Amino acid sequence: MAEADVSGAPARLRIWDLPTRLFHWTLVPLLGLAWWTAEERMLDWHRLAGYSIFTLLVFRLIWGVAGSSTARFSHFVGGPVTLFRYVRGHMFHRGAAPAPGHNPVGGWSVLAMIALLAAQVCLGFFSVDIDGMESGPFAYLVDFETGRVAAEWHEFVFNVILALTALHVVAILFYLIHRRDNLVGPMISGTRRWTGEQPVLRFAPAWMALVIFLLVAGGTWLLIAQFGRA
Amino acid sequence: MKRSYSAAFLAFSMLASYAAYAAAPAITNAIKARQASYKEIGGAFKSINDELKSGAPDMNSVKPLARDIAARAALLPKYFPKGSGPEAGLKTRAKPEIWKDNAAFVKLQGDMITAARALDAAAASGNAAGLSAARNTLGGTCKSCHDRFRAEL
Repeated sequence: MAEADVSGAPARLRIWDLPTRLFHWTLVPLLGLAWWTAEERMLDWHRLAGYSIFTLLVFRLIWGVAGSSTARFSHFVGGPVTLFRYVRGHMFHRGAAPAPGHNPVGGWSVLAMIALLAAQVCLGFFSVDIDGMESGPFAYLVDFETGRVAAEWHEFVFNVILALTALHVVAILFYLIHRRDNLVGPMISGTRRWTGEQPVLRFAPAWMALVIFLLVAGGTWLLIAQFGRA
Repeated sequence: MKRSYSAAFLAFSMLASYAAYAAAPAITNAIKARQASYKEIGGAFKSINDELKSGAPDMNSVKPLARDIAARAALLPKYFPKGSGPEAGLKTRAKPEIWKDNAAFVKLQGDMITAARALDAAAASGNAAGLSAARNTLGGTCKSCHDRFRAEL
């Protein structure tokens, strides 16, 4: 089952479930949309993009505890020793075995990205524009100056997110060029080339993700519609 | 050659800082007054917007806010004396264009004062739809002036 087929081609290993891939690939255009609508001052659309990203993030946090093996934080977030060992022993070696899922460095970058996006969405919730016209849904709970500070941080954190995104792309290029390992393909197809013994990965059913997502989306809608003013 | 440049630069900066210092009291007061006033206006305007966004604005809380905005707006023209731009050496987002294209600036300022008066009248009349329309007009004057004369840091 796990060995290479007759032609000698290495077997494929399923590493990413559909919910995780959908999370990743819907996040990309939503970030672009959030940026563009802010630039064009289409704040209605900007808020919608923010609510969508918020929904995705909450879903991902739950999926990180209840989802498939490779989506779980416990699977890919290691301590400093794991991190150090990976950087020293694996990261720069072309022949090193690939990680079944996020590698230890990538795992931390996933956490950093989720934390930054969560901070960004929360700042947006309380932001007020300089004209006092547009605001996040919960800005009515804070005064004008606090809302302005939130807006200034909202702008700053966006640049940090851009920097981390750039680093993300550079890392992918590094793996592609130096390690000759294509990480984008598996994030699309869900499977990657794998030689040798296959690790045991558990996959949570997609319907479970759908149920969680719908509950989170409904909860977000309730939160904004009931308690927000925008 | 280099030395004379730096000497000239030093002399210039000393002069410039002296000018800033000499100009200080009136200019400083004007900058501080307008910044405090804009903050109050922004805060009051945000509160009015929060009321409108709630769907059922409480006119009793809106009225004094609209009155405050109109009163403060009327005073703004005297807080922009020549020399109170970036050259004052204080933290200000006022662009030099305010004094270069002064006619355009004064025109936009006039629009704001008119719109603030209209907001006050709408609040006094107690009509939510009228208030909402007046809010949009006033918000538009904030934006058109900010876009042109307020520096993004």
